[in-house]
Amino acid sequence: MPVISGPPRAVYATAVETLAGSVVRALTGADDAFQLAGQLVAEGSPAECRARLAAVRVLGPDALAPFALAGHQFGPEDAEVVETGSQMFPTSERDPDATDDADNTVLVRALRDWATGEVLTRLGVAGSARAYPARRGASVGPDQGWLAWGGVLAQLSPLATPGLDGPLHADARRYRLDVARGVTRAMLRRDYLTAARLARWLASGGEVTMDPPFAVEPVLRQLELVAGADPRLQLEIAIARYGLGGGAGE
Amino acid sequence: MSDVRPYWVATAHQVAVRALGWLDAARDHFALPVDVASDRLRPNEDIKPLGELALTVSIAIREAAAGSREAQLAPALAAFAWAQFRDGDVLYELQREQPIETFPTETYAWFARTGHRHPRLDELVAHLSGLRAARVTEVVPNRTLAIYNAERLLGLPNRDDPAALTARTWLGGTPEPWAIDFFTLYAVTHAVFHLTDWAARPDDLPPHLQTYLHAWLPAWLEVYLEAGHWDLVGELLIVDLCLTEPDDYPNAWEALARAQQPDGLLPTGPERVPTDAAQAFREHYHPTIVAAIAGTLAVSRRIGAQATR
Repeated sequence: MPVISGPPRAVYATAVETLAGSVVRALTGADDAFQLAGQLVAEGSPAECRARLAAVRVLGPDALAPFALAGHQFGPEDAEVVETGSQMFPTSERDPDATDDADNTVLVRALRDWATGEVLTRLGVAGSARAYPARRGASVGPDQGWLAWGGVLAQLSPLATPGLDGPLHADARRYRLDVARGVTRAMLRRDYLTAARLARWLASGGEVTMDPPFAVEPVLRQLELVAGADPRLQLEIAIARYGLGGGAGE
Repeated sequence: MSDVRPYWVATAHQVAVRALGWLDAARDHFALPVDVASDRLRPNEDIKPLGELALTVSIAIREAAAGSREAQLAPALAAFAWAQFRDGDVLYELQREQPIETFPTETYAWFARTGHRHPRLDELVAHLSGLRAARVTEVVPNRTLAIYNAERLLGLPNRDDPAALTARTWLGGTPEPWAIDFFTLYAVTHAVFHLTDWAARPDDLPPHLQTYLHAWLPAWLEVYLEAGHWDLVGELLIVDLCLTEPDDYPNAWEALARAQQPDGLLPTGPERVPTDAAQAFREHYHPTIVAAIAGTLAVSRRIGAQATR
């Protein structure tokens, strides 16, 4: 395990990258074993211990992808890590419908928590399911224009996982061109993380014929070859590949 | 005349009027150097700006949709540019000396649109365009469409199949929209300009390419709006106006208007405009040409159009 040091912000970033890297290796078959229990090991400073649990919260449903998508054995100790993380970093009690949620922070978090609950439920953890955030979401929907919507969708890429479905997924299928415009813009701006997150939405339902043509697989391959080794980016790509149906293994 | 027009057309009109005013005030910079033989003129530095001025005013005259100021300026500028080319003699001499060069013919075509003809150049061009050599000019694919359009404007027989020419361009291949760069976007804009004769023939752009441009123009435009690359933003706005059903981009027009200087110059990009007039002309005449054409086409094509958004 890499040495985690430095100021808290860097400690958290490193923890997230480390966990993302483990998930990627599990998804691509580079590691046979994967478990979340290690995130609870009382090793290092208190900040580092907190950061490891925070990483589980940050990755949300993506931290569970090796179990949900790649057949890794999910055990009670893994469930305990997720539970402990949720307790340490609780969901805001604020109502996502609150009018002061102008930047969608609360709603985005609620949607990601919903996705985590769905994945946990599929993994057999009773009582994990949460209601889909009530606001069908004028402000997370495509009616705000492709540019703004792409920004929200990128934040919500953990929802774009095979097996998850909801109103946002329906919008992403229906307004596929808007999502593809977001991918195009992000690719041209060399904002590869956003490109990967939006491509993941396109991939989540498999490759779909579009007019004009817009294939997702070449986007993913291009990102794999040019976007660098950021584990969070690689994680988005790896899960997108599961969406396309091929798994993430080379 | 119906005055039902999208609100942003007033902005576009203002952009065009100001740009045309700047072009008019910059006549001295467009003028060809005196006492220089035709074959010593430099294609990019001398001929191209004056040719692009002729293009701009030929479109303003063709559209005849602008206000009284433009109606007065455009023919005067066309006459000025024609006089600079010594009533076509310069273009004739250039073409005579360089028979397989295409820029003299292309430049001449803008003048033909405004009724300025040169009989000996007409004869020469008709002959040259019939050569087998003219079918295999070694240029990048979108340039073959420029030659095609010039021959069309000059009333020469169409010897090339525009569909085949278009298929060889980047746009014709409908590639991944993210696999493009700054320079190739210019190739796309020009393929559209030539194929539609600068928005005069929107339906000459095949339906599948219209679909393609409706899909990806918004993403491309957004990237270069953010970068403040006004020259390319202006060209992309012209592309929209070359479609059978333009999408209209009010925000882009407002941004373009904000970027335009009070004197009408539109900067190429976010860099500071030099205070030296000659240098400012060299670096920024082109986006100002683009602004004049874009604004002119916006007014003529969107008058009477219902605001769609």
